[in-house]
Amino acid sequence: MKKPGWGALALVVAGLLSVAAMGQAKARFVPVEVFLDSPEPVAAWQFELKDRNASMTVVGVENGGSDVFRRAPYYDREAVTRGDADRIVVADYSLAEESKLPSGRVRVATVHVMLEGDADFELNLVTANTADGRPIEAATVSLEETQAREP
Amino acid sequence: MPDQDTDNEQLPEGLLRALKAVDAAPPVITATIDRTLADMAVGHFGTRRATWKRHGGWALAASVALVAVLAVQLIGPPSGVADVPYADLNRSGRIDIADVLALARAERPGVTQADLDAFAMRVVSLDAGGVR
Repeated sequence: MKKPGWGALALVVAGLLSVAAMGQAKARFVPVEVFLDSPEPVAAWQFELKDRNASMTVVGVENGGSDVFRRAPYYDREAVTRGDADRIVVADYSLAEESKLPSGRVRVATVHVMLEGDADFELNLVTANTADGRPIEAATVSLEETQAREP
Repeated sequence: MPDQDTDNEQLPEGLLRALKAVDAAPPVITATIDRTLADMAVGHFGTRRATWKRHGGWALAASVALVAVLAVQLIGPPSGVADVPYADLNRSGRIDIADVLALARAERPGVTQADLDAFAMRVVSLDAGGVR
């Protein structure tokens, strides 16, 4: 019987090493800042954040930089607590006077995510509304990843 | 018509037999027969009455339920419990935070901050209303 060559042995070793590397994929925690850009004062907003690569787990959400949206926004806290929030819907509204509502580029939330691999974020603005409830068609959302932290 | 037999006390034989038959002693009703008849009567009329009661009970329950539903519709829910809808209030074709804003702006009586929070939490719920 012919003995296996060095090439076959190298393949086996390489395979084992790659499997081990996959099992030990390092998780990293990344704060993702979400910005709303609106030409009109915003009284209500809602966005959805997903990861096309399914490497994301949302671990927390905090409020943004506007004074009228000072409290923590609405999101599915139970799913985050359970650790199975592979996407997140975040929203908030304010009954403040129109003159106090923010416009322009506003950080509305910071989503803290745990990534196990490279994320391919998909951020969608569900709605942005004026104080009288009218949709702001020209409003957009964008995100910025800030410095990642390793556990 | 002249009364020809005024002094004749002798009745015809057939009439006498008929009169004696009518005047016969009644059949004896024993305690057993009495109890049997009473049981039969109770069984018969008791069943009919129970059936009537059963139908009457359902009719009564249905009437009470109908009146209760109408009362809630006309008067509203019991005080302290707001009828907060989870609905597309602004008719945008989707239930989202703008509907919560619309409800908050409407200042409906009985709608509390807790109700608004519950509505908003349902809007962002990943299991129920959350946009996908």
